[in-house]
Amino acid sequence: MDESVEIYRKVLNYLYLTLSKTVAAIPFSGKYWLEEVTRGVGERVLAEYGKKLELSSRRPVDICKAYLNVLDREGFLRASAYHLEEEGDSVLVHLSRSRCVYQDFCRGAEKEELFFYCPRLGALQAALQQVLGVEYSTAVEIDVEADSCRGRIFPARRLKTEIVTREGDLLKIAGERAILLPKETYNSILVAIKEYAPHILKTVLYDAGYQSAFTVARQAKSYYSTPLEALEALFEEVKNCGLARVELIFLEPEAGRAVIRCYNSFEVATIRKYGELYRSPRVVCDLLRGMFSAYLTVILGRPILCEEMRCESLEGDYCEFHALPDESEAQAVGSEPLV
Amino acid sequence: MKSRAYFGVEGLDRLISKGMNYGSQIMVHGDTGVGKTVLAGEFIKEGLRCGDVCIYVACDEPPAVMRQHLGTFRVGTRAYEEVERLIFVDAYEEEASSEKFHIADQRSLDKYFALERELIRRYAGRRIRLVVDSLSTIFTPFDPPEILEFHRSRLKYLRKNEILTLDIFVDGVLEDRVMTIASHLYNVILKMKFGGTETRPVRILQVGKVRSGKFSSTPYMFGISPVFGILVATELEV
Repeated sequence: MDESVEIYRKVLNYLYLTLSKTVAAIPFSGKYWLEEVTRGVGERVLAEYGKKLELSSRRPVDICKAYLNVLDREGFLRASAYHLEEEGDSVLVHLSRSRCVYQDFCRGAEKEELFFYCPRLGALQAALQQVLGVEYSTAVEIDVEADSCRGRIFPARRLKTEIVTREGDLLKIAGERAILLPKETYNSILVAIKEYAPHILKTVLYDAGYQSAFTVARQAKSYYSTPLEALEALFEEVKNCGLARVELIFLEPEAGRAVIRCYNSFEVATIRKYGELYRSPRVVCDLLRGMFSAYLTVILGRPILCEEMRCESLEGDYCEFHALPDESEAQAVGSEPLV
Repeated sequence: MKSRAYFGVEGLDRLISKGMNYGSQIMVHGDTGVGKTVLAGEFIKEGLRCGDVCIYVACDEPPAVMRQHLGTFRVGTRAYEEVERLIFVDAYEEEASSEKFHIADQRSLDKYFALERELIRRYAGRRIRLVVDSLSTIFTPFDPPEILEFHRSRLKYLRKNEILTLDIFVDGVLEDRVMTIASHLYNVILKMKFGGTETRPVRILQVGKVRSGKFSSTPYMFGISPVFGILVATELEV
């Protein structure tokens, strides 16, 4: 390989690795932005060479093949290096890793545990979106022994709350105006409630968590095929919002049972910094308890109640929530009908 | 981890600003339907959130009624029952009970006390809240001397083992003399009654501490909210 080409290849890979490292430090939307960047490259290529696409059909696999053929003719790559298959509405892509120009990015991201979006798949994703007008996403599996990649391009199932943007003075999450609330402001709201209506504090927090979690829980249920996948996506959201790091310890969907562990609960942190809201030490994560109850209620399709059985505010370094079906016949005030 | 205990009812807890020691014994007595069992539910909710083991002895209704009551306040009782933080003792159904713990023979105070002691031993070293709803029902078949003798030794045992005890009595079931003597055995007396007029009845409670007299026995109006439970209007004296 020409020495200057090798240098450009390295620079390209360093650039992607740096991007990946940077987006990992962004509080929201890290994966989303990296995907936007990788896909954006494909969009620019399409903008320049898209007219040369010779489509034999509107099947995703044929669109991808047509795109690769254009790039082959323009000298970007060798289309024969790719093996494409159709699987339902997805396209499976096989490629030898050693023949990929982005292999340093791929290996580096794996080694440093950074976000990874394959620029190869990102380009195909862009082609599908442009031709079909449908948003696609990608996933990659690496077969280390065979040193090959198995990519999949599929209709997007990303939770929209992951998408944070700024439009002028407005910060938006999934198109809805959002605000960043400092812990001090949150605590001040609680202190005011405690001052004027202390008896409602726990109920308000639980109900606020419960009600506010429904929309995103419904999205997750519609995007993911299994309760486990949906819950993992929701817990990622909780982490992205800085509420806590959540770990699913146990899930038995048929029985409506789950055990959820929570690290760095913002509710514990608030109490620790600004002082106790209650007269005696107790579990304090009522908002998270409400959120988890709503998540499980929607995802499992039956009323579920979470109880915080252990709280970092009392002992240990995590909070633990036990979820079981809500068997009380009475309708709770403020509860929403099941979807 | 020892700390002070509260009822879990905001207005009421303000009246006992320093709280109660574990080992304190509370007598709740009042009219039928005034809200004694609701108060017991608040006391249990508070205990569960504070990490206590809560034992509820159901005498006047099956335990399912308290489970349902707590459920309406979004308390998932099963989660606590599975880890033995909430224990129901059925003293209502006798032999017909399907509960893990039940009192098969309500004609023996000794058997009742034996079960209470067994449970307390079982959770030794933990903070325990014991609620008996209502003790007057258990006492009904017995003569005053037998009641008082049993009651003295029982409360002594509970105090020694630092059990935070809430005994409920329904007014009018036991002789006044028995109620008066029994009340002297408790640290805290809570009287709940209906007041006001026939056309505009109100619920009233008084908190008294017989021995030290530290707590005011001023009457306070209270209500029962289906969302928030017992609400005490401490700023609205009767």
